[in-house]
Amino acid sequence: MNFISLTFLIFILAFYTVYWMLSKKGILYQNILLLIGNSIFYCWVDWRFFIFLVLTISINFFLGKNIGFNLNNKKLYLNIGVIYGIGSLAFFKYYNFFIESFNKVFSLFEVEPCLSTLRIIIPIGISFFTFKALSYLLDINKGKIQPTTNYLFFFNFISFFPTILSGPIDGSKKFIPQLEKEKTFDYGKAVDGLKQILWGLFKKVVISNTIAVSTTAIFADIDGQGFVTLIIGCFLYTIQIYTDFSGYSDIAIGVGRLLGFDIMKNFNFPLFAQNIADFWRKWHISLTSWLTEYVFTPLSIRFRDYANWGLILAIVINFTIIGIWHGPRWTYILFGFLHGIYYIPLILMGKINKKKKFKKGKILPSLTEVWGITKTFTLVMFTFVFFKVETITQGFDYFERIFLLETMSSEHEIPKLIFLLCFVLLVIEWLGKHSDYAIQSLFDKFPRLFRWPLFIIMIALVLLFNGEEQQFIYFQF
Amino acid sequence: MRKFLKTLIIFGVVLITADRCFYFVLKHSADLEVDKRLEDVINGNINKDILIIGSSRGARNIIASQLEKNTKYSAYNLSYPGSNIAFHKFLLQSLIKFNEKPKMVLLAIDDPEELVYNNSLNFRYERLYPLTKYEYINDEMIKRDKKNWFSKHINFLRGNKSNLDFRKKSFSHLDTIQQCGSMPIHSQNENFKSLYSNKEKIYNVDKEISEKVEDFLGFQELCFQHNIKLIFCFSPNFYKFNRSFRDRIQLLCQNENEIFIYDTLNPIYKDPSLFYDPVHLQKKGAEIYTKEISNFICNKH
Repeated sequence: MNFISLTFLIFILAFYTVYWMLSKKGILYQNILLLIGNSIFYCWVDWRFFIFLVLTISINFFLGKNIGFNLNNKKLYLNIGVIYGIGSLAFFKYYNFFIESFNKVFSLFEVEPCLSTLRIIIPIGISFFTFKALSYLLDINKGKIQPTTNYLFFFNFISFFPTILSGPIDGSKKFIPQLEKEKTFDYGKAVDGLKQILWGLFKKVVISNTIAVSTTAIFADIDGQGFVTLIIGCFLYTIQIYTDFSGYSDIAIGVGRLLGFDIMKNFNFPLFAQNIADFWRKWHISLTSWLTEYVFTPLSIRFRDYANWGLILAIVINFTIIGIWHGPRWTYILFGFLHGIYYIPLILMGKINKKKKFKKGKILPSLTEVWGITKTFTLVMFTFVFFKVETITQGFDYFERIFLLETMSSEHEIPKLIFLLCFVLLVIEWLGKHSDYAIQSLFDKFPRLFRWPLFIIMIALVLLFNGEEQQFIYFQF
Repeated sequence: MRKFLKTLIIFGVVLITADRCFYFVLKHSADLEVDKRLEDVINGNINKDILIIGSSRGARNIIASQLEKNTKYSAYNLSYPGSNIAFHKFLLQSLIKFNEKPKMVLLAIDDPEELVYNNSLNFRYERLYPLTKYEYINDEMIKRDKKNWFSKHINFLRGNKSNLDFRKKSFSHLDTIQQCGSMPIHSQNENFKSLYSNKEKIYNVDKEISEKVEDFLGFQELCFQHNIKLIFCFSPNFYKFNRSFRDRIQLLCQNENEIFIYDTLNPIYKDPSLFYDPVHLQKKGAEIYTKEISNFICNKH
């Protein structure tokens, strides 16, 4: 069930109505209803793995209780949980990748490859719900949270339908207490949720899908494009992936808000990041926070004797894991690795923790800010080439054509509309950068007579641009 | 909750009003188009004896007005460059539905891409988008999964981003449509290599796409059901005639449909000045080829 489909619209309308109609009956009813909604949603998307999802939830629920209350075997239960989580991810997502890589290495030494690949279907959302479950167990182990004794709450935490497919990866510390509290309807929250959904839809349907036509054409025929088109191609792909993924996150958070939940922010205007550390504080925040807490921090503590080099090593490992998390492809690994490498100058200059903030009330950025934004955007957009291509060789071919200034004329002509949409996006995002999402309070100063037509135009554009169904890029992860 | 519902209802009413107003944009979109042929079909304005259907080969190589003069039958060219057999079938269906059925249809064959995958031959949806104000066109889009059922009632869903381009369209240098629907070319492609290829290509049946074959047979069935004479026309290429492809079309040719092949022995078709590129004729070449077709029709019918 795609968020941008008639089926989802009908589902959410029906669910929303029943959910609030029965809200006065108490927490139990709300949670039972949520369980039914989560189950229907997941089964609709892919019923084949519902049993696996239930199994994962049940195992982690059991382990969580034992880590929290059975102090003698705490470590054992934690290890089982980590092995189960990482193991299922490794099997479903990376088994064939490992086998193929091993076979390639064997063949280099002229040894007959003996391991065969399997036809594996990846359970949808596995990267997201596994990380949620892992953080739950690790937090209990560290004593940050108490395990929940209510299976219903835990089931809803892991399988919460707005976020199960592509995040944000919410932490149990903030989410489970929300399930334990009775929700009452809040007008402001509901309106805010609708606005965030609209902005998410606008970014995905109007901007991302329109750009996708050009980026697909450019990346499908790299040899047929001139270097200018190729540079614009990586610029556009960066905008596309941002509008696609942040659009999804906005819809997920908006739906959550409609149901009375506060889901963690996943993007904080990363296109205006002023250095690479700033970028990762603003991009896919829920994943970065997860890895910072459970991978980077323990690693940096372990390597602290090596001063800056220890920090560099921890960061490079952390970002390589970010790359691997995206999927079984060397291009993703290189993408993550490059981002790790980008940190080195910041670490050596001691600027890694320096937070960059824009002053409120200032419309235009300063020259230093413009330089920082341009520099970071350029570095990031080049790495996204490896995110888009399927092999590292293709990625290098792409850069070769750019840096050799191969040809001026291109097979693909980029429509002017795309540049207009990028401009509109950047202006709106810039003006609304102090809010949770760009249009949250952008139009609030205006009277309803002016504000409503703007929303209607946005809805009209979403409906007019909504052609063939286009999956969200992050669904594959 | 009550306040929220009240706001939603008022907003919904405003949205519906805006949606109703959008109908005027949809209505205006068709007027901005310069190629009115499909709209003429829907409005029942194409009542001709001979109809030419095809892709660019049909549009450029067969001149309907000349055919009219030579054969004394009224003729019209309804060929769309870049269109495939599914689109051709849709055109014929629409024509039969809204107009008097033609006596004869000339289907310009894309030699040898008619039944295989070719990314430059498609169902020309962008010709349909400006006409979605017509229920018939919108229903076709729903049938082909390009629109959902709600587009029957919501104008924003019926429309497309192309409806927001309010500029009056104009003919491009290559795609100027004559009164008779034909689109002859007066120049030569600068990349055209004027070396005639004597190498005969071999047609590979395994590469055929079953949907295209079905549409090809369906096109014939449609003509048969409505008692329309169907002639498959092979136009000259600047390379040796592909006999294996002709044999394949002959095998698929049903009922009493006929195949017309240009005079492959005529050396004039080896003259590069007649061609725009290896597969399209210039106007003077099109005139020679159209004359051949006219003679064929006059002699046989």
